[in-house]
Amino acid sequence: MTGPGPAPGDNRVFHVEGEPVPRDADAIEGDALPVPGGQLPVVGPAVRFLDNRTGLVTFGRSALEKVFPDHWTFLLGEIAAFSFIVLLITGTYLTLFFRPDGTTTIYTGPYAPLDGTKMSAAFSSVLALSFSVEGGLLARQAHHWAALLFIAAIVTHLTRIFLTGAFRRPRELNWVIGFTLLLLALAEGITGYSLPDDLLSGTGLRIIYSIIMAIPFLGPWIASLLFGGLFPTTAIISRLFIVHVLLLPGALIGLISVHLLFVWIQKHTQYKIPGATEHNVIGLSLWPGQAFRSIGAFLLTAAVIALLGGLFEINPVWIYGPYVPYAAAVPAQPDYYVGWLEGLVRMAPNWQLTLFGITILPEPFIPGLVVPGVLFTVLWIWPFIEAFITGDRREHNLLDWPWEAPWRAATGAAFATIFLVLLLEGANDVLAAWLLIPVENLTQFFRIMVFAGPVIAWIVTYRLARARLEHGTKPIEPRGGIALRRNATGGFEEVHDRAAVDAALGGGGPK
Amino acid sequence: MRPLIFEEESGIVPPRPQRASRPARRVPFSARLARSVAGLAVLAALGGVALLGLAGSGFAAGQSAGSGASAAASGVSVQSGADLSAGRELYMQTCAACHGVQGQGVPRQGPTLQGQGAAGTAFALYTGRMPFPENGVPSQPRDKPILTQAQIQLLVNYVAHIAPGPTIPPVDTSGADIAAGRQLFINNCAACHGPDAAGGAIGGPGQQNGFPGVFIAPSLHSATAQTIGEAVVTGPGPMPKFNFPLKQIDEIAAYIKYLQSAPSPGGDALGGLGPVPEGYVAVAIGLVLILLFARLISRRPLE
Amino acid sequence: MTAGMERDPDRAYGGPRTVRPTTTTERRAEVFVGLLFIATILAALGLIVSYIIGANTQVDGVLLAVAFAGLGGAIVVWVQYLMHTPTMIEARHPIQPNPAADVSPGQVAMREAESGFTRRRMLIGMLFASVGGLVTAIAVPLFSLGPLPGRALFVTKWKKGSRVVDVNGNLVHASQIPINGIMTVFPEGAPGDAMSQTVLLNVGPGLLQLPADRASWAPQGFVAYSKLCTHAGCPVGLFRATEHDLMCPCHQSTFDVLDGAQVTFGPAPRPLPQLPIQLQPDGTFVALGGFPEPVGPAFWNQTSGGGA
Repeated sequence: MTGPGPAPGDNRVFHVEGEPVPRDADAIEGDALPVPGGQLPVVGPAVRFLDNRTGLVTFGRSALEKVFPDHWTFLLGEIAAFSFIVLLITGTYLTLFFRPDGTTTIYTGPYAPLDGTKMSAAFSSVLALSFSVEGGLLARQAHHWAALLFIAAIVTHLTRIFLTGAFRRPRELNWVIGFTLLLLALAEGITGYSLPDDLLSGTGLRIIYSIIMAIPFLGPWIASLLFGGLFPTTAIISRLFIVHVLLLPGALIGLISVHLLFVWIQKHTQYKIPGATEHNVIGLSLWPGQAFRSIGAFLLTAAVIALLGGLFEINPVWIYGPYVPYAAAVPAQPDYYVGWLEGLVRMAPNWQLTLFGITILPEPFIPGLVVPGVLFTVLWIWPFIEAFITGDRREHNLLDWPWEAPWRAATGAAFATIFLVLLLEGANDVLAAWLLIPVENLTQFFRIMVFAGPVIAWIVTYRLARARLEHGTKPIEPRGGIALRRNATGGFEEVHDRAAVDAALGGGGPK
Repeated sequence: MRPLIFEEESGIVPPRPQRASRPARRVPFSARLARSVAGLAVLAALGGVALLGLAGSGFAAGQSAGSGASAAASGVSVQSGADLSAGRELYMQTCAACHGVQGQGVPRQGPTLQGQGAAGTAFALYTGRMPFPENGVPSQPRDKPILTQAQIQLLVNYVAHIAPGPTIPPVDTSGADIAAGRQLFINNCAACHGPDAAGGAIGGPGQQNGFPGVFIAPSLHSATAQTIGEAVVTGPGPMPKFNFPLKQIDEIAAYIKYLQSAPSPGGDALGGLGPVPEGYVAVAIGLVLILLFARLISRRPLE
Repeated sequence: MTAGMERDPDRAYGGPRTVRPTTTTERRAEVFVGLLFIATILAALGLIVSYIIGANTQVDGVLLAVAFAGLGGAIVVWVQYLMHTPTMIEARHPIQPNPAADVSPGQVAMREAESGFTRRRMLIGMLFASVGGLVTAIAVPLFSLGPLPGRALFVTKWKKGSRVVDVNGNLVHASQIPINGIMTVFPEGAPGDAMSQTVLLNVGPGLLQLPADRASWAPQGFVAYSKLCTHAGCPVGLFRATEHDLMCPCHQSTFDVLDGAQVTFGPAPRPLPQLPIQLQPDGTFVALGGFPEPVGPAFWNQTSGGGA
């Protein structure tokens, strides 16, 4: 990291490759990048006060000048982070009313169909915060929608990183961290889904318990320790709660910090736009351009979540009712981000390996743990797998367009197809009722498609990418506008006309 | 507690080799093919995620066609003095071709009516499942009955005479305990009809005999209390039969009526189909909106 | 708080900004930004009013969305049209180890020698052993998280002579279950028990094709199976009467009721265990014994345990 350094010009030279560093001929006087609010009466003295005691302003100034590529796909990760912030805010509000208590109470509240019904205190508190707390239902629904968006944004972000090869050296570790963040987010989703102790979440927990129990030799013990005994237990809600509100968010915040630190140190990748080289970053400075765009993106993300939370009912637990172990309903699904796992469990054949009267591999073990484990491990360490296959271990700061690495795009499409087929199989009863096809036939179709689909997707994507690559790409228009060039004294000079901009950007015309 | 009397129980169940030969709700292959092709076309056009959501909305729209018009049926009871000969004449014109002159059924045409009684007949006629139009789909619920109420009354009386079975339960939901009804509903009905009574796919009989049929537990969102009672006591098609006391039938019907009219405080209920349409909305509306914003943030649209 | 500080002749860190005339686009953007701010102010006021009068979730959600979108939109338009945000270029230095830091093998070896790690192998071994021992000792209390399952996975509350009751604990009478009827039942004293949940079905006489040794377990077409799916433990509550099969709503495992609950479809690896029942002269049922095998999903030593 660029820590507090001796002088701004020393460690952050803004100049174009290969050009002599201009003397301060046309430099704007002073410093074109003021400390925020430098003209305001309060902020300036306050900043000086801080600087005199910490020396941080040198770092702060260089931080404010950090350049962010100006492309909408670079906002995907930010959107995930903003969804996470909304989750923290709404989640904190919910903890003020939710009681993580699995003990039984009798409901007496405004929701008549449950009047006098036995339920856990946890479920009762969810009803109370939904019906009796002003804004409670909105907060709960916004929290749930934000969770769905959080994971959707992470997956979209990872897809962009994958297709453009942004995970290549030196960023392999940040891919691993990012993928770990996805796993933590999934765990957050599953634990959160299970907290209200309604019929749907209890059924989900029952299935999770059964899958854990299927671990060879250790399963029953692990399941018993995790759940606090034989399912259903009263302990599980309070245990999931502490995992959901403390351990996982803590891990997420820690890893997000490391993730961002790595981005900071390694700087952003960039697309092959005119002027972009392996040795520069072209874009907007953090202050003020990128910072305000990010704030805008955060507020707009919050707006979308608020809109969904207000207009679309999500997880109406009062309809499902409290969990009872002897009832289940169709359609019974987890949230979509676990839908692919549900599909795997639904389509698996009923094989299990039994030797000498001992079930070595109970049925749910392979579809429930082994296959997801293999799929995720491959994706998790993908940068190293790709480097091993291609032998390419050079640093890459310029991104591939997806078609420039046809086999990578094809592999990504194949993975996406596997998850998509599994997701559809996980919704097979809903699809069956819509298409009027028996679920059994759909399952058989998806059993074939989960193998055939990725092959087809691979071939089709590969050929499309090859075609795009061979027939050439549309020439990219030269960048217009002005560019700012940092000179040796830390000042900036403006470059105005297009030809000059392109020249200033390193002479890179359309590639 | 007014226990229902089942006048005749034997003979409802077909012998085992024939089981599944007459699913209650069967859709011709052509119709299913058309809908499937339409569905796959949408899949190709909009991508798989879109399919999930359309499944949600399409399901909600397509399957909630219950028995709206049989509201007229409320309070109908069998008049023992009704004109049996008029009923017989109507039966011969409308039903006998498939169900036989004595209601004994006709091989490859229609199942026996034995054991249907007044309740089963009223259910089939008031929900528009019968008689089905030429080239139509048998046992498909329709928006309104095909026959007039007077005609149905005649047929109900006549079939109850030749094929005795459960009487129409006099369902009365006023004052019934909906909390008790909710528990009965979750324990007995929700496994097929769903917790929101939005209906569900419960597989197809095609596994054993290759018949390309499909079973749908229909949405109850437009069912009347009367129809619910008739279905509970007769178990149409693959539905099991229940011998609930009348009080419990009242409670179940009261809870389903509650679900029909209950406000959804959280906003649009998305068909009452749970996480599948929710996931679709999250991606198709939420993510798409945010990506659109991201695109706008990174470009100056006016220049 | 800056009292006493010497005034820096440079005053602020920033210098003069270039001033240029406002364009038409910028004027329009100014108006638009202003309107968006007004929208946020109105929506915020609306939210306060809504809180006071207790409006509904939809109103709150839309107002909140408008408030956020107004502010966010205003900031975005501002930064795009009214702020000077030129394209900038930053040099990227190759990421490499600091050459000043000596990590040469010789240097590292010398440090190791100083630490004593290389010479005192015995102590190193003991170091690892002590750390391992401490970690293990700290981890052992994890076993107080829950009782080990023991025999609990192999038994239910059903035993010989258990009377059959419904979910409310009332005795079940044969007349309550018509042909093609189904009811969820429990052993007397344990209504609602997760492990003991059982479906009691009436398929009518003469249809059941049970194995010979179980012929007496299903009097007059009444047959009882564990309701816990042998796949993942969901309650198998979906009875398709004309098909005489039970389907699990979770993963669609299908069991043939007439044929001893053999699996005809889906991921369940084994049939639902059958409960031997007897019809009493008064029309109630009793169990002739517990389930002959463990109920519910598979686990590794399931088959070695034996029944209740």
